[in-house]
Amino acid sequence: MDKIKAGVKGYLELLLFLLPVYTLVFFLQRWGVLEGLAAKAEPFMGFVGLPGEAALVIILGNFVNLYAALGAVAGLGLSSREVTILALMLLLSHNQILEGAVILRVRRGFLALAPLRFVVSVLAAHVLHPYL
Amino acid sequence: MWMKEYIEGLLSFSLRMAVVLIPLLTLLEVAKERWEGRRWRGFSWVLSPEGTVALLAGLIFGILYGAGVIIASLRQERVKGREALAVVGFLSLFHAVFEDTLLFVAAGADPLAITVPRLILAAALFVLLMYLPGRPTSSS
Repeated sequence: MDKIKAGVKGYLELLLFLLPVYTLVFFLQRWGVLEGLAAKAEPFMGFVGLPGEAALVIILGNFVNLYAALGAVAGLGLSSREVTILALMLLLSHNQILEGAVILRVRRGFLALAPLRFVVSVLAAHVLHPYL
Repeated sequence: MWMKEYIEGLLSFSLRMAVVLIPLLTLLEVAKERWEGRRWRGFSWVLSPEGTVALLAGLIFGILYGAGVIIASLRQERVKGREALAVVGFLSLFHAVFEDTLLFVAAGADPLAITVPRLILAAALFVLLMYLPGRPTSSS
């Protein structure tokens, strides 16, 4: 029973985090604020088969965490193919600051793995997106 | 009607996350309690018991929730720099298999397409870091 309570509490904590991001992204898109970013990001995002505004999801996922990215995915209303590409990229490379801190604590030199994750995520999406 | 769209999106999203997260976080909570002081020898052909514990902790709990176990295990004297690097390298690409994967499946992603490539890439990086000749990493 205690454990279920802990599970519900964990969910509510994450929801508290997800909802502001969902709301913010929903309105940013609605008001056309994201169009500028999307237009700038379009040529780069084409490399991984995603529309320009998906850049926001990649940025949130890498610098904040997966929950922020998921909130943005819901706010943007992306297709399931786009969600699959984003998921592939973000699962390989996310939460770089906090997870980087853990990696750093194992051995200092291991921090080089952080940029490597990002590069691998971009290359994986570039190679695989035509098949998804 | 943006209000309707906003609220519908909000509810369906919160619900999907609840279906994934509440059972999963409950199970992880239970599993974590039974985890303390475990030793595994199943991978002794390639990893030390400490390396194995770190690998499994990362796979199941993720890098953040498993951080305590991962850091403590891999900083043991017996774990060579190369082994620690290979385990962390593998985990950096592939961890929290249940939670992270299910979250995106709930959001609409294809489960196989997001799992198989990651596993292959992580395994390749593991082999590369473990067996490729190069300068040995200094310990700590």
